[in-house]
Amino acid sequence: MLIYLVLLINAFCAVVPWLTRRHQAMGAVNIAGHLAAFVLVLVQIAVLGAPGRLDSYFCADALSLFFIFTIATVNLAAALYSKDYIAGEVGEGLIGEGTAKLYYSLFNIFTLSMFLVTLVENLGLMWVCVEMTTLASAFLVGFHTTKKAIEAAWKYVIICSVGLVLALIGVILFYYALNTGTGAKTLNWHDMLLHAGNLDPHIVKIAFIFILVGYGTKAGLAPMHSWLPDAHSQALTPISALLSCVLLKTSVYAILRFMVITNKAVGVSYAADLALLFGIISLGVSAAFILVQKDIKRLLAYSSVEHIGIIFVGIGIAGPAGTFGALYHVFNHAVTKALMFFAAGSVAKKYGTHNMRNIRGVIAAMPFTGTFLLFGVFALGGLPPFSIFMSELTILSGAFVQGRYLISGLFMFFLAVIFGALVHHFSGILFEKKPKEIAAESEPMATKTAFIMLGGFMLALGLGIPAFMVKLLHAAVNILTGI
Amino acid sequence: MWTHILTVGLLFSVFLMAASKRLGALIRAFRFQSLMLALLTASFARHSDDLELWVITVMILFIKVWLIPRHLEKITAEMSSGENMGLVLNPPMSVIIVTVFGWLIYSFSDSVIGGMSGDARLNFSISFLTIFTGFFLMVFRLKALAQIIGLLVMENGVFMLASSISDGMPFIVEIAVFFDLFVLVVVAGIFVYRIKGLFTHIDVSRLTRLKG
Amino acid sequence: MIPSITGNFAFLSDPLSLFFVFVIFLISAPAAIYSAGYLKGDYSGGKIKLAWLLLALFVLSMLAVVSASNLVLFLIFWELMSLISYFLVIFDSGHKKSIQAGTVYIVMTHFGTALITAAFLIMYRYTHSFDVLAVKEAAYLIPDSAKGAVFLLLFFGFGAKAGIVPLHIWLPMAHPQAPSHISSIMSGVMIKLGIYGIIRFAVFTMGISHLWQGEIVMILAAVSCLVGVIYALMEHDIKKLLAFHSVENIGIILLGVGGSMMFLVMNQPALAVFSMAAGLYHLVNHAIFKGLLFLGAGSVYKATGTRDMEKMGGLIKLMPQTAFAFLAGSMAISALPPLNGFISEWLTFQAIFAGALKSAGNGVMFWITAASALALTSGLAAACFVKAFSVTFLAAPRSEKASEAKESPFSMTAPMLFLAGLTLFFGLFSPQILRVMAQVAGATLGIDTQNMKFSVLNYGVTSGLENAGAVSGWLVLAALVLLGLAAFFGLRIFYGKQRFTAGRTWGCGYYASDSRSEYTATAFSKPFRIFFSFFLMPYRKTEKATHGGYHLKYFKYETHTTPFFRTFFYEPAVAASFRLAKKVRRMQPGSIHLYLSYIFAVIILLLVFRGKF
Repeated sequence: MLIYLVLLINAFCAVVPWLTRRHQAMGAVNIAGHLAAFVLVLVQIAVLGAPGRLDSYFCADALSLFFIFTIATVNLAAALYSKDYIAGEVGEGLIGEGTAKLYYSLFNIFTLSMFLVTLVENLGLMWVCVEMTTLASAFLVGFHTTKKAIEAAWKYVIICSVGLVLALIGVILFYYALNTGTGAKTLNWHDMLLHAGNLDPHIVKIAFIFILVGYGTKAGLAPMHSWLPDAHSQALTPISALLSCVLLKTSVYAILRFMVITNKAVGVSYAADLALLFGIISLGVSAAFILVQKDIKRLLAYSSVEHIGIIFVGIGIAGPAGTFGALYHVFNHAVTKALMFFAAGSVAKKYGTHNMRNIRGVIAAMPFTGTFLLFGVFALGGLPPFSIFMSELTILSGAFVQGRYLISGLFMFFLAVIFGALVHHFSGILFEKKPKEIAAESEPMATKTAFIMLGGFMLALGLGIPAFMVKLLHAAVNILTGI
Repeated sequence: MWTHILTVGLLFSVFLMAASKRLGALIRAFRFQSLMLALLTASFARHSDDLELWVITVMILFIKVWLIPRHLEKITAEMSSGENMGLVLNPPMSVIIVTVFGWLIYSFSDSVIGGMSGDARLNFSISFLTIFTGFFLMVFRLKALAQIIGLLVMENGVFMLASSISDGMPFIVEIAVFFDLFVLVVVAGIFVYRIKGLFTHIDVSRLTRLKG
Repeated sequence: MIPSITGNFAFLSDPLSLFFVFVIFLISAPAAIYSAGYLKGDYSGGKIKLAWLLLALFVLSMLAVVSASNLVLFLIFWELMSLISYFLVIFDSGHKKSIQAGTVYIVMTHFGTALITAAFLIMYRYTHSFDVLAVKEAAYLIPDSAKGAVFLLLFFGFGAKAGIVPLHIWLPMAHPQAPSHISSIMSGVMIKLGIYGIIRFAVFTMGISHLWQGEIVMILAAVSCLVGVIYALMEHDIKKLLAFHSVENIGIILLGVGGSMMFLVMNQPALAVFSMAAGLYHLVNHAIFKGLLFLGAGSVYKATGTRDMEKMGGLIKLMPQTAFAFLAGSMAISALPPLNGFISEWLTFQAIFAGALKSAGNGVMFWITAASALALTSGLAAACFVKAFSVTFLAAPRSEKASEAKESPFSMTAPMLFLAGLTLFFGLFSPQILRVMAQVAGATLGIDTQNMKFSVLNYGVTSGLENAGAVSGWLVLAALVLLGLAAFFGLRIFYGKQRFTAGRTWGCGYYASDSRSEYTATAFSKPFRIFFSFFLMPYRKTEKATHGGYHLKYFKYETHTTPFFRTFFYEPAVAASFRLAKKVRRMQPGSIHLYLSYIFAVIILLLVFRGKF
C-alpha cells in the first residue's frame, strides 16, 4: 500500500535533519522526499485507484485520497520553496544551523500529522491527529522569536485548542448517540456510517453543532477565525502556505466526514444550511477586512478565510454541482494560495516590510516573481483561464439551479468586492515606479521551480481537469452525497 | 453513595476555581478536581471490573494529579510575576456567574438530551459546567498560565462528559488524548517562557500588537 | 458539469458573428499598422514586443468572444478580453492615473460580468444547457418573470462594457490612458462587443416579448446620448472628449437596437429589421470614424506631447495629412453628408419616425422624444467637433511644443487616410451596405428579408420602389469631385494665387498678437456650459495674489464641472463601503479574550436556535 510509504517518507524526512550538518543537504533531502511522496500519491490515484478501507485504523477511500493529493502537492511546493528560503535566513544570520534542523524536522512532523488526519479511520484518533497538527505547527508559527510571532503563536495554540475541545465534545456526543442508538462501541467512521440511520436525530444535531464550531475554528470559518490572520501572517512563508493551503483543508475534511454521518441521520438540509450560514458570514467578514487591509500577508490570510467560506457555500449548496465545486475548490485554492504566499513572501523579504503602502514597482524589481504574483492575484480573484474561476462557477451553477438567488447574489457581491480590493491593493504594489534602493535580482532555481509548478497547476486545471482527477472527484462526491 | 460524594466534590472544585485569586490556588483546585475524577473513574472501574478503566485511573493520577500540576507550579515559581491571576471579574462575581450558568445548564439539559435519569442528568450538567468554568477562566483571567489551566479544566470536563454519558471512549482514544494533553501543556509552557522573555510579563490581554 | 475550454471548443458562424468579425478586423488592422510608428521612440524594445503580444491576444480574444457558441466559453473569453485590455490600459504603468483608470475599468467590467454570469446561469437553470443554439431552442421553458430578470441582467451587464449611462464612468478614464491605437480598438470595437452581447443573448437567444424591454433600452440610450455629448462639450483633453463621444454613439446604436426590440413586440417585422440594420450600420460607421479619430488624437499627442487642446493649434499646416484625416472623422461623426455618419443617423431617424407613425397616444410621444433627443445630440456633437477640430488644428500654435510638431510617419498616416476613405465609401455606397446590414439583422431576428426592399431614402417594404430616389454611389462621387474641382478653380480665378503682404509698425497690435488672443476651447463651450448648468453644476475657483494689496501679481481662474454620476453615486458608494469595512475591522482588536468569547457566543446561539435549521 503506497500510502504507508508516503507516511514513512515523511517520518524519515523528520529524522534526517538531525543526522546531517549542512542546511543545504537538509533542504535537498526534504525536496527529494516530498517529490517521491508526490509521485507515489499520483501513482496510487492514477494507476491503482482508491483502495477504500485498509484495516481497522486506516482508510484511504476517494475522499481521503483527494485530500492526500492536495497535501502532497503543496508539500512539494513548500519543500522546494523552503530550501532557498532557509538558506537565505541562515545566510543572513537570522537563524542558526541548529534552528534550521529544527525547522526541517518540525516541517515533516507537521506534514506527517496532516497526512495522518486524512488517513485514520477512527474519529477519536482523527481528533488527536488534528490536535497534533496544532502543536507541531505552533513552533513553526512562533519561529522567529519576535513579539509579534510569539503573540500570534500563543493565540493560535489557545484558540485552536479551545475549538478542538468543543470538537471533542462533538465526537463524544456522536459516540453517545451511537451507544444509545445501537449499542455499538466504536468510533470507526465506516461503522458509524452503517448505523447512521439509527442515531437519535436530536443528539446528532447538537453533536454536529459542536463539530462544526469546533473544527470550524481550526478550519478558519468566521467568526471563529480570529487566530488566522495573526498566525498565517507571522509564520515563515513556506509554513504560511502550508497552514493556509493544507491545514485548513484537513479540518474541512474532518467536518466533511461527520457531515456524511449527520446527513444520513437527520437529512441533508440541516448540515447544509449550517454550512451555508457560516460560508456566507466568512465571505462577508473577509471582504470587509480585505478592503481595508494594510499588511500583505494578513490580506492573503483573510483571503484564505474567504475561500474557506466559498468551500462551505459549495458544501451548503450540496448536490452534485455544489459538492464537486467545493472539493475542486479545495485543490484549486491550495495551489493558488501557495503561489501567492510564496510570491508575497519573497516580495516582503526583499522590500523588508509587510506594509503594502511601502511596496511599489514589484514587476520592475522582481520580474519573475512579479509576473507570477500578477497572475496569482487574478487567479485568486476568480478570473479565467485559471482554475478558481471554474470551481466558483461550478458552485454558482449549483446555487442557481436550486433557485437560491439570495445566496448567489450575496456570493457574487462579496466576491466582486474582494476582487476590486485585490486589484486596488496589488496594482499599486506591482506597477507604479519602483523605489531606487531596490535592485533587480533573479530568484534561485528551486524557488523558480516551485512557482512554475504551482502556476502550471493553476492554469492547467483552469483549462480542463485531467481524467484521473475527474474520476477521483466523482468518487469523492459520491461518498459525500451518500450515493 | 460514594459516587455522589465525589460528584459533589467535583462541583465544589468548580466553585473553588471560580473563586480563586491566585495561580497557586487554581493549580491546587485543579489537583483536587483531577483527584475527584480519578476516584470516580476508580469506582467505575470497580463496578465494571474493566482493566482498561484501572489503567485510565492510574494515568489520571499520574498525569493530571501529579505531573501536570507539578510542571505548572514550577513554571509559576519561575515566572515570578506575582501570583495574582489578573481578574477581569472579581471572585464573588465569578462564583455568581458560574452558579447561574450551572442552573441554566441543568434546566436546559433535558431539552438537549431528553429522558436522562436524575443521576445521569446531574453528571451531564456538572461536566458541562466544568467545561464552561474552564472557558470562563480562559476568557476572564488575564495571565497566560490561567489560560492553560482553563484548557485543562475544559478537558477535565470533557473527560467527565465522556464517562458520564457513554462510559468513556474507546481505550486507544483515551490514551491518545492523555498523551496529547501532556504535549499541549509542555508546548504551552514553553510559550509562556518565551512570552515572559520577550514581554517581561505574561498578561495576555496586553498582547495586542496584531490587530485588524 | 461546467464545460471546460479543452472540452467544448466550438464556434458560431452565423451572419451576426461574421459581421462582428469583419468589424474587428476592419479596425484592428489599421490600428496595428499604426502602432508600429506610434510606439517607436517612446517605449523600450521589450515594451514594444509586449505591446504587440498584447495586441495580438486582444484581437484573438475579441474574435473568440463573438464566435463562441457556448455560454461558459463566452464568459471565459469575455473575461480574458477584459483582462488583456486591462493590461493595455495600464501600459504606461509608471503613471498613477493609468493604474487608477485600470482599476476602475476592470472592477466595473468584472461587475458587469457578474451580472452576465447570473443571467447565463438562470438560463442554464431552465434550459439545462450551455450551448447557445440549444438554449435558444429551449427558451420557451424559461418563465416570464425569470426572462424579465435575465433581460435586465444582460442589458446592464453588457451595458457596463458598452458604456451605457450610468455604467459609463470607466470609459473616459480608461480610453485616454491606453496607448492611442488601443484606445482606437477599444472605442471602435471592444465596447461594441457589449452591443453584440445584448443582440446575441437578449434578442437572438432569449427573444423579446415585452414592450418595456425595448423602452428601457431606448430611454437609457437617449440619456446616454445626451449625457455623453454634454460632457464631451466640456472636455479639452482630446482623448477624453472622444471617449465621451463613444458613450453618445453607443446611445445612438442602442436607439436603433432598442427600436428594433419595440418593433418586434409591435409586430412590425420589416421595421424591426430596418431599425436593427440602422443600429448595426451605425455600429460599423462609428467603429470607422471613432477608430480614425483616436488614431488622429494619438498622432497629435505623439507630435505635441500633450493631450490638452488648449495647448495645441495650427497643426493643420504642420501635420496636413493628419488634419485631413481628422477632419474627415469629425465631419463623419457630426453626421454631415455624404459621409457615413450622416447615413446611419438618417436611417435611425427614419426608424424612430416610423415607430411614431405606427404607435398611438402616449407611444407617439415616446418616439418623438427619442427623436428629439437624437436631434439635439447631433447638433451638439457637431458643435463639439467644430471646437475639437478648430482648436486643435486651426489658428496658431498655443504652445512651444505645438509649434515644433511634425507630421507623423507613413505608418501612422496611411491607416488614418484609409479609414478616412472608408468614411466616404460607407457613405456613398449606402444602399448596398444597408442591404447587407438588413440581411444580418434579418438572420439575427429570424425574419426573412428575401422579399423586403430597403432603400436609404425610403423605409420599409417598398415593392417596386427600391432605390427610388437613391442614386448610384459612383455618380455622387463623380459629382463631388467635379464640385470640388469647380470650387477650387473658381476661387483661384476670382482671388488669384495666395498672396502674402508684409506690413510694418503701426500695425495696431497685430504684430504682437499671438496665440493668447485666440479662441480657447473653454470659451467656445461656455454657452453650452451655461445652458446645461442644471446638469453640469459648474463651479469656479479663483485665486488672486497682489503686491501689497494693490498691484496684481497674478489672478488664477479655474472652472470645473461636477461629474454627476461620480459625485452623487460612485464616490459615496465606495466611501460608504470603506467606512463599513472599517467598522467591521473593529471586531479584531487583538484581544484573545474577545476572540474566545466569539466562539462561546456562536456555540450558545447555535444551540439556542438549532430548531431553525
